[in-house]
Amino acid sequence: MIAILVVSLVLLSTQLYIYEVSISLDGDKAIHVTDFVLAVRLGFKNVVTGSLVNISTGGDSSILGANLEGWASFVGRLYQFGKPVINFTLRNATSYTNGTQISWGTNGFGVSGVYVDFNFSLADGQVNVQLPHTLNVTTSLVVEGVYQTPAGNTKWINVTCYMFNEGNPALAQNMTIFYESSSSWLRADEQSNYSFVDYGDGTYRISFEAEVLEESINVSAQAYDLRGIYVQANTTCTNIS
Amino acid sequence: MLNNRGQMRTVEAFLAILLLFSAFGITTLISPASNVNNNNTLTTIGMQTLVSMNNDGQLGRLINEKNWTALADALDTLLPLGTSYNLTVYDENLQTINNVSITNGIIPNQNVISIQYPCASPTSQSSYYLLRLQLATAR
Repeated sequence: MIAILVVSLVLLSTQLYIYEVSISLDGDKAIHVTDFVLAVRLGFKNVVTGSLVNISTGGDSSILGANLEGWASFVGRLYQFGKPVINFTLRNATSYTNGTQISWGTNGFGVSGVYVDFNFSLADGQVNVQLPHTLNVTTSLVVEGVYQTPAGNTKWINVTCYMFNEGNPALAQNMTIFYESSSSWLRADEQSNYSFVDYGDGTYRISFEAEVLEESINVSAQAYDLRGIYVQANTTCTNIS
Repeated sequence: MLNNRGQMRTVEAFLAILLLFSAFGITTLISPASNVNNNNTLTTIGMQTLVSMNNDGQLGRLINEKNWTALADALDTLLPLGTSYNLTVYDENLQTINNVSITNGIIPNQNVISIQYPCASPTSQSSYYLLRLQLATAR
C-alpha cells in the first residue's frame, strides 16, 4: 500500500512538473515578441519608403519626420508585450539633410534616399528588448550616353540606364528619356527609330535618332522604381563617330 | 484471524488499485500542454503570415485600396489548410474599417487565438493600421 502511495505521488509530482513547464510561456512569448518587433520594423520601413515616394515626387522633406512621429506614436499605444518606445534620428551627414538625400546631378548619377537611425525598446517583467537599427532606403540611377553623326545634324543616340535599390540592381516601372536641343527638352520616344530594350536586370538601353544642332548632347533619364520612388539623372553624351 | 487479515489484504489491494487509477486520472486531467503548444503554433503561423504579406508592403497597399477580397485571397493561400480565420482592420483611431467580413468562417466552440499586428502603408500618404487576426483549427 505504501509503495502504491509513493508511486502515485511520484506520478502526480512528475505530471505537475510537466504542467508547470508547459505553461511557462517565457520562451514562446519571446518568439511572439520577436515577431512583434519585426512587424514594427517593417512598419518603419514602409513609413520611410512612403515618405520618400512623397518627397521624391515633390513633397516637402518635413513629411519624413512627421510620418515617423506618427508611426512611433501609434506603436507606442500598443501595450501587447509592454510599453514600446521608438526614438529616431534623421541622418545629417555629408549628403543627407534631415535624413533625406535628393541629388539629381548632371554627372550621370541621380539618387533619392533616406537614412534614419532608430531605437526600439520594449520592457516588461519578462521580456526586455533594445533594438538599435539603421534604415536606409535609396533609389539610384546611372545614365551613360553616346552618339554618332551619320549625316548633317542627324544624331544616333544610345543611352544606357542602370537602376539600383539600396545599391542592388532593381527594376524600373517607368523610364523616360529626354534630350536637349536648342535649349528645349524633347522626349526621345517621340523621335524616329526609337527603341527601348529592358534587359530585366535593372539595365535599360534606349536608342533613337534626332536632329540636334549642338555637338554637345545632353540627355536626361527619369524613372520610378517599383516602390514608386522617383529619380532622375542627366549626362552629356560622348561622341563616338 | 486469518480470514480477517485476508479480507484486509483484499481491501488494501482494492484501495491501492483505486489510488493508482486516481493518480492516472488526475495526471490526464492536468495536462493541457498539447493545447498550449497548438495555440503557440497558431500564433506563430498567424504572425509569420502577416509578416510575409507585409514584407514588400503589399499588406498596407491592399488595406489602403480597401481591397478586402484580395486580402482574403492572400490569407486563403498562405494559411495552412484547415485553419479558419477572421481578420478585422482598425485605423489609427482604432475604428473598424473593413465594411465586409474578411473570414473563411470561424467554427463555433473552437479554440480561437487572437493576434494583433501593427501595419503601415508604404504609400506617399502614410496610414497606420492595427490588424486583429483570429485563428482556429479543428481540434
